[in-house]
Amino acid sequence: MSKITYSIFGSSLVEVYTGMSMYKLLLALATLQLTCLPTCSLNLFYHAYFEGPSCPAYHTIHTMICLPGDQIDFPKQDLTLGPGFLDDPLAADPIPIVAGEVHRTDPEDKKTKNQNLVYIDSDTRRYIPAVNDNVIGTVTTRHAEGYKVSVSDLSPGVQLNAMAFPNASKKNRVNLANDALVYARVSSASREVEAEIECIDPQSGKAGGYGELKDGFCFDAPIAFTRQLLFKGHTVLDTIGELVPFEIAIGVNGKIWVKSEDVPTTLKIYQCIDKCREWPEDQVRENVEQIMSAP
Amino acid sequence: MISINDRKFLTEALKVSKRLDGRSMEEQRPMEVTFGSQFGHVELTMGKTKVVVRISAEITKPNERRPFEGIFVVHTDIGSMASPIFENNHQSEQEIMISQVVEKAVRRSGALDLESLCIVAGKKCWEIRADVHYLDFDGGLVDATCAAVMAGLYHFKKPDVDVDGGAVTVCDMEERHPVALSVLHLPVSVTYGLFELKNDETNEVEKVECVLDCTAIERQVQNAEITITINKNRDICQISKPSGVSIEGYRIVELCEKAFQEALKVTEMIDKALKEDEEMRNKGNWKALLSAENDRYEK
Repeated sequence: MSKITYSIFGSSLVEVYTGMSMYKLLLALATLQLTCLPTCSLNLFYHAYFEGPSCPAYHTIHTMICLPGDQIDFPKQDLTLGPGFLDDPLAADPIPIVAGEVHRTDPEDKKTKNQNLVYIDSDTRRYIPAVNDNVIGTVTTRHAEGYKVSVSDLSPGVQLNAMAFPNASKKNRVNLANDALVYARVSSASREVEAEIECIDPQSGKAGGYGELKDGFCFDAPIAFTRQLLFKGHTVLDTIGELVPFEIAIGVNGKIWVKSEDVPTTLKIYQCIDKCREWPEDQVRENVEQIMSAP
Repeated sequence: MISINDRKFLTEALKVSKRLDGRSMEEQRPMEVTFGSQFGHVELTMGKTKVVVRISAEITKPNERRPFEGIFVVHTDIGSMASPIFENNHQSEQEIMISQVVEKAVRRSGALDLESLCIVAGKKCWEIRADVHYLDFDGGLVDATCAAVMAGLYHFKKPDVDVDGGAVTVCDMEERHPVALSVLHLPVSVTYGLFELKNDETNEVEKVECVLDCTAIERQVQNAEITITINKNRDICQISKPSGVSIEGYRIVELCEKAFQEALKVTEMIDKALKEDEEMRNKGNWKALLSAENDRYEK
């Protein structure tokens, strides 16, 4: 299968396999819209599809959309497979198991430790714990060794050991009430065993921001959006920060906790973050100012 | 499941008369009704709550104890499609409560004239069936269902029948105009959540706040809920307050008055949507052209 890359709109490019049916193109488009990318227009997509090589960004690989079971023709040997790929030892190529954008890090880049990493950014509704994820959970039960914590509603809970806090000992235990909120790091996650979280920063051995979240308000957001907020940031957070001081904790399990000096301000911050996905980039400041200055 | 932080935050916000979505205490989320191409196919959205109702008609044998009446059934099957809190093929207490309140609001309130559904007494009658599908859940299921079923009943048309002695012929929809159901009134359900607001220091209940049209997250904090079904003629069809914190009688009277105002709005919204749909279907005014009252020959 040969592939051609088309530009859809300014910043984002989509790679289209020539063997792709129109049905698949539409699916890819739907995926694009789901993965909290700027909304792209169907007309432009068709335009790019039929215009072919005369498109300005022909041959540039920037973003690639894949669907589960797609054939991805980069060999597996020197790749590190990230989320979204099935590492089947028998297959020569990595097999995508979710629909979304394929990302590949640059091996020359020192930031990513020269890893040749591929992963798929997709918009899933259910959170599956993965090691080193920062999550916000709710304590559901307390038992002798620690707590059972729910990181996504109506999914199996995860364990939070009573010793997984900084300076914790048998005598010095952290006391969490039922239904309390904790910000924690996933310390172990495998398909067969219950996942575990801990409230220690592994680098320093200290709390490092993890621990119980007191007061404030915690709300649900799309998982892909929380990832975007945590890893790439968003102008909405900077803009709110310029206007009022506030605290925020972002869990990649699709939960965001905010706290500020009083309830009405927290409420406004919640409204800004909740609505900002619908705002174009250049209107964020205007809208935030409008919401924050409302009585 | 809701954390202590959120529970506290929501009640604190209510104390200063603020709600998460910026609505006031007595503001209902706007309902929007769209009709499908077929009669009795209604899609209703209210905020994030989304309900689809399909009305269908079938000829069956009437109930032996009520030979002169047709049958009207409402099927409310809330599955995990709406929200994972509802299990498929298993009715939770909450679901049973919702279906009972809906049943009372639209069926037992006598909104549909059952006697008009009789074809041959004791032998044949129409069975009108309303299937309610819940596509998304964000509170207010009773209110949304009630409005959607009523809009469906107004919109639905059953095929005309010919009765010749004992023989019943169902006429084709193309051949004869289908017949609208005889709907006697339009009951509207209005649900208030009751919240106990406590004093910070003494921890005593200061007042009970009545909040209209609670969302899913507000429902988890509320201490009780009261559903009032009322129509635009000020007939109260039901007041349902199954459990929870108590409320004074005079406040229920107040709530009924407020519910009446909401009922007027919903009735108006449904009327408007029905009128628009009717206009869309009657493009070119074919109904007037085809009327039997017209002169046969052009003068």
